[in-house]
Parts: sequence; C-alpha cells; structure tokens
Amino acid sequence: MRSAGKRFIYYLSLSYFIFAGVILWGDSHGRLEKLHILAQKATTPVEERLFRAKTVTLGRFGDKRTSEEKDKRISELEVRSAQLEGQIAQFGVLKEENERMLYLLGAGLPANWKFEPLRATQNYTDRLYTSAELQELQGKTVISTEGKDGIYVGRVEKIIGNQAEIFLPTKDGERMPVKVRDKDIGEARASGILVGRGGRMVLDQVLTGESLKSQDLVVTSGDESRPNGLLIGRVGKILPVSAGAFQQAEVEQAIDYKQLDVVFVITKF
Amino acid sequence: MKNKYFLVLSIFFALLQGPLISPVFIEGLLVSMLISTNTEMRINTKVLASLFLGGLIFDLVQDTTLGMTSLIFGISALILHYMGKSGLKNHAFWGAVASLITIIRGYVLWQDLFWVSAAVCGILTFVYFKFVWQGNYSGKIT
Repeated sequence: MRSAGKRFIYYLSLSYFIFAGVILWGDSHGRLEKLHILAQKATTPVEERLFRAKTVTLGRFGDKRTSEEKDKRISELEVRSAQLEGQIAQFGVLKEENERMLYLLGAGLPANWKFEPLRATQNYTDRLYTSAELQELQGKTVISTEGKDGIYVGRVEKIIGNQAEIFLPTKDGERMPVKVRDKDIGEARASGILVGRGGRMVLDQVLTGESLKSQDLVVTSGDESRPNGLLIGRVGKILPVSAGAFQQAEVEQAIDYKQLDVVFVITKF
Repeated sequence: MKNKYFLVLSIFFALLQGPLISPVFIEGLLVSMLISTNTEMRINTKVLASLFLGGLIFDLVQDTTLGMTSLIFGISALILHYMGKSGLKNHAFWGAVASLITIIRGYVLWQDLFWVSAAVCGILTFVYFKFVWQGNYSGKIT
C-alpha cells in the first residue's frame, strides 16, 4: 500500500509538472495571449480602483510633497518621456535600416561592393533628399533594394550640410549610357543613352539596326561613377522613327521614386 | 484551509498585490496553510489541483508567464511533503519555506528578491503556525 501510495504521488507530481511545463511553454511562445487579454480586461478596472484608492490615501496621509515639487517632478517626467519616445523612434529607424541591410546582403550584388544607408527626408519629382553623415559621397551611385539585384535610383549631386541631394534619372537633362537586355534571357539587345525629360525617361540614340521590344530591361552600362547592370526601368512605348539612324522609346520606371524610404549609396564597386 | 478558500484568497491577494502591496507577498503563507491543513499534510489530487489553479490565478491577474507560479507552488508542495514530520513540527521551517516561495517567485518573475516582503511573509507564517494553527502532527507523512 505504501509503495502504491508513493507511486501515486510520483505520477501525480509528474503530471502536475508536465502540465505546468506545457502551459509555461505555450505562454512563452505567445499561444495563450488571449487568456492574458481576457484576464486583464476583467481585472484591470478593479486594479485601477485599488491603485487610485491607494493614491488618494497616500495623497492625504503619506505624500508630503508640495504642489511645486510635484509640478517639478511632472516636468522632469515629461522630459524623460520625450527622451524615451525619441529613443524608441531611433530604435525603429535602426531596425528598419538593419532589415534593409540584411536584404542587401541577400541581394545578388557583388560581395566586394560597399554601401552606406541613406534615409530619405524629402522627395520631389526629380530629386531625392536624404540624410548623409559622410561628405565624400558626391557623384556616387544610389540604389534601392526593392529589386532582386538592386535598382538604380540616381546619383548624389551634392552634399549640403548633412543632407544629400540625389538627381533621379527622370530629371530633365540627366543623361547616361545604358544597355537594353532581353526581359527573358537577359541577352544584350541594344545600347543607347537614357535621357531625363522631367518626370519621365526616354531611351535615345539606339541604332535602328538594333531591335527594341516592349518590357525589355534598361540597365546601366557602367562608367566611372556607375556600376554595370543596375536595373533602371523597362522599355515602354517605342517611338516611331522619323529620320536618321536612331530610334527612341519611352522607359517605364522600375520603382516608384516617391515611395523610397531607405536607399543605399555605393561607396565602392 | 479548504481548497476553495485557497482559491478565493488567491484571487483576492492577486488583485491586491501590485496595486496596493508588493507584487509578491502572501502566497508563501497561503501554500503553507493549504499543505498543512489538507488530509494530514499529504499531497493529493485536490491539493495539487488547487495549487495549480492558484498559480494560474496569480499569473493571469498579475500578467506574468502562465504556469511559472504553478511550478513554484508545486515544487514548494513537494519540498513540504518530503520534509517529514520533524520538519513540519518546526514553525521556523514553515516560515523559511514561505519566505523562500516569495523570494523565488519575486526573482523569477520580477528579477527582484523582495527581501522585505519575504521577511514579513516568513514572520506571518511563523506566527500563524506558532499561535493560530491547531493541526496535529500525528498525520502520516508518506
């Protein structure tokens, strides 16, 4: 009997700890969040009343501070609250930048390229303004990580204080050599000059002998300041050839420049 | 103490602990009272079920990780169960166990040892067993 009793206690205790452990595991993994929410809905009003009762009681008998001291304390706490809110916002920004950097690491860009993250502050039709800690970014290429291999956003025109002005390829007068690749097999089809026309882009100086197809990829052909192969957009409407040896086409943007939030400047390629 | 009183007191003190008094305070005494007065200090299904539910009540009301308090209560009950008659006759031992429950719960859930609360709980438990409790020690400890 004694042995049977011991065994019963053993199995009872074992069941108890297993059950408690399962609940602990479930709650640690957020599976029982609804139970907490329900319990808090039920108990918070009571706890608030109790706390208020305590505060009122202490206010009469325990809290000897003058109203000036309380006001001073409130001001201190408000300042502290503002500081903490600022820190929380900063953490949010850092988290987002970190996520973008992780995405960048997973993108199909060469491993030896180096980047510096920039956060967009203002966005006009053909210009993007970002925060910039470094001064030696002028003329560098800026990309976005929206696409698999990085998308060309523009080039840093100048640094004013801690702000970088980036000219987008749509800016009137912006010109750069580009290549056109087949949308399916990636084979080079043509080369030309991409010209910004104030909010839109036109592919110009493509030899009439070279074939252009709608939705073909327009990528950078590479020069001193721009790496080769960055996607800029897709061939849109092919314009009729009037005279001469060149043909033209509209180019559709690969990304919406107005939606840009965090971009990356290529510091080395 | 009857099991239902233990549960009612668990709800009552879980609500008080935090808004009015320290978040860990009296649970050590409650567990000791429950174990000491149930079926000659033997652990049984009802006692364990009460401890488990009591722990869940504390965790739910105080919004701490569910199951943690039940685990602490369960371990305490086992310690008390296996201490035997000699340990149970010592009133200071009950006080020490009650304090320990408070300290462990405080440290695990709030990373604070709550020395003052633990000391008060220990003294209250000692006083209870010394002067109030009328249980006999002839119960068979198995």
